[in-house]
Amino acid sequence: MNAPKNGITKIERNIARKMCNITADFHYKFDFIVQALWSLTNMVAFAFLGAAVGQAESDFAPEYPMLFFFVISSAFWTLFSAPYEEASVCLREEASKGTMGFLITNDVNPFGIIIARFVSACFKFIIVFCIAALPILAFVTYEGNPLLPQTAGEGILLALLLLNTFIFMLALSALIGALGLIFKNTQTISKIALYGTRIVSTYFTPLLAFGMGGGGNVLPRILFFLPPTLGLAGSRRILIEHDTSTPFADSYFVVLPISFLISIILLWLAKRLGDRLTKTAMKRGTLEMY
Amino acid sequence: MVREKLIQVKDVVKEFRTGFQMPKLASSFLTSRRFEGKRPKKLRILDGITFNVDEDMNLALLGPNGSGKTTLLKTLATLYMYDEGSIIIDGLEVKDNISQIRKDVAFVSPDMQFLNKLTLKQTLNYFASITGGDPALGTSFLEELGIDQMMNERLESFSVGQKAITRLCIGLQKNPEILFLDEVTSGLDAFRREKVIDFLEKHGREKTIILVDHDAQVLDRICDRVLLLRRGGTIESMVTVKELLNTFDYAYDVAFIPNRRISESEVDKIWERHETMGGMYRFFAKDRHELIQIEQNIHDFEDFMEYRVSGISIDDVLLRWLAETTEGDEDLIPVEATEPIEE
Repeated sequence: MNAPKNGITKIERNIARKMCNITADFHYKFDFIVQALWSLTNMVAFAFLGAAVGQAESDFAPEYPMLFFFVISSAFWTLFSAPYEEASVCLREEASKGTMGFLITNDVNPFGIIIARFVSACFKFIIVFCIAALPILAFVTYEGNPLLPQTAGEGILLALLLLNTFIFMLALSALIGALGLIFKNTQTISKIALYGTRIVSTYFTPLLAFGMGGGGNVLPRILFFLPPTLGLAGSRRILIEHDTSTPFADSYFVVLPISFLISIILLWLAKRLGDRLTKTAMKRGTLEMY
Repeated sequence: MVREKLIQVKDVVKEFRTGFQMPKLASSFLTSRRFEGKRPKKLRILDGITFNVDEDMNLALLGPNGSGKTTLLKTLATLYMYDEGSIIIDGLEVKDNISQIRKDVAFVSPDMQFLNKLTLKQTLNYFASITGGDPALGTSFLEELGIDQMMNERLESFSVGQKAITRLCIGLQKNPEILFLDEVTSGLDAFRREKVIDFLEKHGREKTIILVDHDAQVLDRICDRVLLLRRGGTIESMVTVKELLNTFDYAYDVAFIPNRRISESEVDKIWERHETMGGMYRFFAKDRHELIQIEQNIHDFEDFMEYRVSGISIDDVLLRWLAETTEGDEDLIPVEATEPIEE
């Protein structure tokens, strides 16, 4: 064709889109304040719950008071819950705004839209985290230490755990979001998936409690490979106990690569499903419906 | 050199499934009557569409509701995938080269909404980053439409018409080779509609425009050809605007208002081909010769308040054609006017 080519690559377009999403997000200041308040409320509520429980006495309970357990739970999920929620339903949002057709005809595929939404929401919630969670982590101390990494090793390990969880949650939101191309109301499915992931990630119960049904530590040990579980349970060991070993025989050199592989495979599956369902939606004419 | 057949559409069929789609294995069990009504149905929207568009051609898709205009436009714009047939754009089959083709097309839909907290400038930059377009390309358009001074205003303060202009500007800044426009002038006031049509009339020749619009002015001034679609998604014909005008069996319309109520025989005496509308009469002339004859007869009648002569506009043609196709899909029988009407 003779017209000047639009020399923009897919990667450039997706980065540009993410940047635009971030810029746009900060124009909605009231929403931003509400999100920060909501995260803060959540942190405080779980802190109270933990304080009320005090020191749990069951065989599966951690050795530290439940206050610290729940503070880390809610701080950790502040980073991932809302980005997941925003990203997993963003296709419906784009369709309701009428921008779906525009994006598709400009070769931005639904997978790219979800990724852009998730990444930009993560940027927003890193700031929310810094406002609502970080001061609490710095203020609360266990055995004289704040709930922050104390050494470079702890920091690096924590960063790897968070990155792994980030990829997993990105993949999960892409997977659930892709369903929205065919099934138009996926909000409940999205909530179920999030709640289920939170449960297995040890948000509400200690990791060893998953062995209550029998089988000893078999199930907890398997679950520990799951990125959000590894992320949250590992974060607790680092931030509360300042321990960089796993609670099981497997070292992080084994657990982390396998866990990363799980995230990558899920991301690949989400991409495949997204592409497949995009084609189906193009055939059925449901891409823009909401 | 103009490339012929920039877009080649051949035997395109588009069906939409309605109802729940069972997996193949499960569907084999659904032969019993109990599940009969639950099997998915297919609704054929486009049925064997075939036409070509040359590079320098601007085409309007026209037809009654349910004729598949928008579906065809969205299929050409790569938003929907056709089920059968082939669409080749600049030598590339759409099914196999969708990403390549999308670089050179832009689709402007009236449904597109914006992030209202962004300013016009931010919005244009935002969309330009997605399309890889140049915001400067839309600037001359905004200047002509007189909203360039609103660059720093948020879109929440924009009227429906100003948002419609913004949408078109987003399409233009991509500098596409093929521009697909869906009801692009809807929501615009008369002044801005005129400006938009003017702009597209002036600059539309640099690209191929395919549009869906019921505004006769848009068709008349921007498009060379009109693809007439019938209900059921089949093609009636593809004609030039001039040919479309010539399908009308008269070329002039004389609106006549007498000073008094006149009898049918008196009206017949002035001109037999007429229509009574309250106290007004419309006489129809096939050509200038008949028109002169009618005028002569009116002057001979003497007792009249006024009469007005107008040429047949595309509005008349469209209204009649749409009425006919809506009523019972009767054929549009071309009656050649002995004197071609100027476009």
